[in-house]
Amino acid sequence: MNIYVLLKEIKESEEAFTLLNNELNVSSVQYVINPYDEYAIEEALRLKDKHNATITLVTLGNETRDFVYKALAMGADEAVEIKMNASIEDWDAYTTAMIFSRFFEKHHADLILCGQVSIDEASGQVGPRLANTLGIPCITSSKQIEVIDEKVHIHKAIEGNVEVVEVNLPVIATCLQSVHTPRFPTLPGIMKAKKKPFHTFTLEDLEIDPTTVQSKTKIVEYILPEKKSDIEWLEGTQAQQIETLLQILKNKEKVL
Amino acid sequence: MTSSQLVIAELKNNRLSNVTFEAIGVARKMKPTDRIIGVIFGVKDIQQYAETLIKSGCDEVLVMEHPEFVRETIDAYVQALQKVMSEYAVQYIVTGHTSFGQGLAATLANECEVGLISDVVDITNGEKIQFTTPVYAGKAYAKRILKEDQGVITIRPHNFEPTSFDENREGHITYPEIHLQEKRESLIEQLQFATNQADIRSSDIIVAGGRGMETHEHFHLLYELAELLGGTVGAARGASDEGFCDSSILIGQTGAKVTPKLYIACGISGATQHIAGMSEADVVVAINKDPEAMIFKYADYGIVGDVKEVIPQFIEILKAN
Repeated sequence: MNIYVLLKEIKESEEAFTLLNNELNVSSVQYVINPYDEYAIEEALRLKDKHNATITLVTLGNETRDFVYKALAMGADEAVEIKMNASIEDWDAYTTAMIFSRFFEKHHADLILCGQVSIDEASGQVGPRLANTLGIPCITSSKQIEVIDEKVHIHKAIEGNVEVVEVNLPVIATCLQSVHTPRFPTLPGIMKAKKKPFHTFTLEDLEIDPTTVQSKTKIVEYILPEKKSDIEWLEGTQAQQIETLLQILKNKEKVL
Repeated sequence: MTSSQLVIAELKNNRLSNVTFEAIGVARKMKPTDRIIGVIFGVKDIQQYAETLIKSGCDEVLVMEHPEFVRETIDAYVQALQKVMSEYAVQYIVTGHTSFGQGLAATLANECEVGLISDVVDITNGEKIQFTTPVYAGKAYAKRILKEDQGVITIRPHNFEPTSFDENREGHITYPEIHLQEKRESLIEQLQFATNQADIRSSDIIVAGGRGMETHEHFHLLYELAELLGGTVGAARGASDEGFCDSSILIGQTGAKVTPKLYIACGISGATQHIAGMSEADVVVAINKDPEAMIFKYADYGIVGDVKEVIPQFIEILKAN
């Protein structure tokens, strides 16, 4: 079984953003795997533990590679990075999905997994768009994926309950927090990671004409949130604090 | 053909969700004089909801009735809508940014080869309509445009004014014929885990607990508190990691994003991953025994105290009042 996992590189920082030339700016950044993609990797690894499967990671427009090596260290078999073309302005989810579609038109996948959303943009578009272009089903809110007799059983989270759906391969499943905790890379895993196949493609390699994948949307401005005003500490005995709080919530804030 | 705006209604537990009325308001704000067409899905007997949509601002409502709509599936909804799209010149589609809504919106946008802007929290009219969306879980906001002045947008619940109900408003209700192709996904089993509490995303009042609740029993007091306040219970990651609750009520970076009027954080430290899920709450109250806890930086009101004592007393006081 050919399993592909889409990985997004996320710039993570504990600091607040500032604006520089209408771009978001922060002085110290860590490049990590989108947390929801990690759940997708874990589900892929569990399928590989049980069935004969290869896991290929696919990433687009990444600036770094360490996050991919981490996923390889967790147990994925191969990595593909697709380089972005400088002539593509305002790259959006439509662009990403179109580029992935061209890749998958040339590389057959039985199962494509990805995080439901990326924590930077959080639009959740790529999985469903990709499925629609490839003409395959997309199952969202996936928490657990099993393959039984060549059919895929996916546990979907529906507002706290779970629906188990059955689909034929090929299928795309977008993952929310899995029932399984993503495994830590082991030391042997980390050592093997750098030796695993790592392929690079340009848009030209994939025969993609950049003019056909230009974005449909554009960011025209970034704004920073308003600073929250200082906290009001409640005072007095515990009972008094609670009573005062209730008064404030009812009469001043009018939320009760 | 003049253009129309399509609003996809959300009908859950025999109720039209508030976000539906907010979406109608948004469609009206975007195109004040265009036709607004509401679309509603169900198995049968949903005429009453169609009437509510008309009286809430839709000029026309398409009632999609079919046994298949007992579940929300992207395939069935998109197939039903494809026919609609071909008969109306739809410029914008508006729906709520719910777990199902986001996948449906993305598939529709792709099917129509248009752009999609998700999780919109504000709109500015102008030469080009600007849609404000949170990025990095609200650490910043991006104002976006649809380059081709057409597309799909999903709105974050609780951020826009819902339309008002006008008993005298009239409109047209249609029952299009539904032809669905063979199903690609089938439901095998339904497993019930959650308590019967309302979806936290639609709650006006949320009482959330974290690792600081210390035990399963103490965490469960929050259900009583929430009920007395008329709210629902949420959790920070620490609480579900400790097994106090199911991960379905998690609020945070890898959980629900909530925008309630009131958020009471109990025994929650305030890690950025949690703040990411509730920073849009109107009023935040934090209760924590550590005055230096990060949560207090995001709160409007703070009680420094041990939740194991504060919560029971809070419940007592509410019961006495």
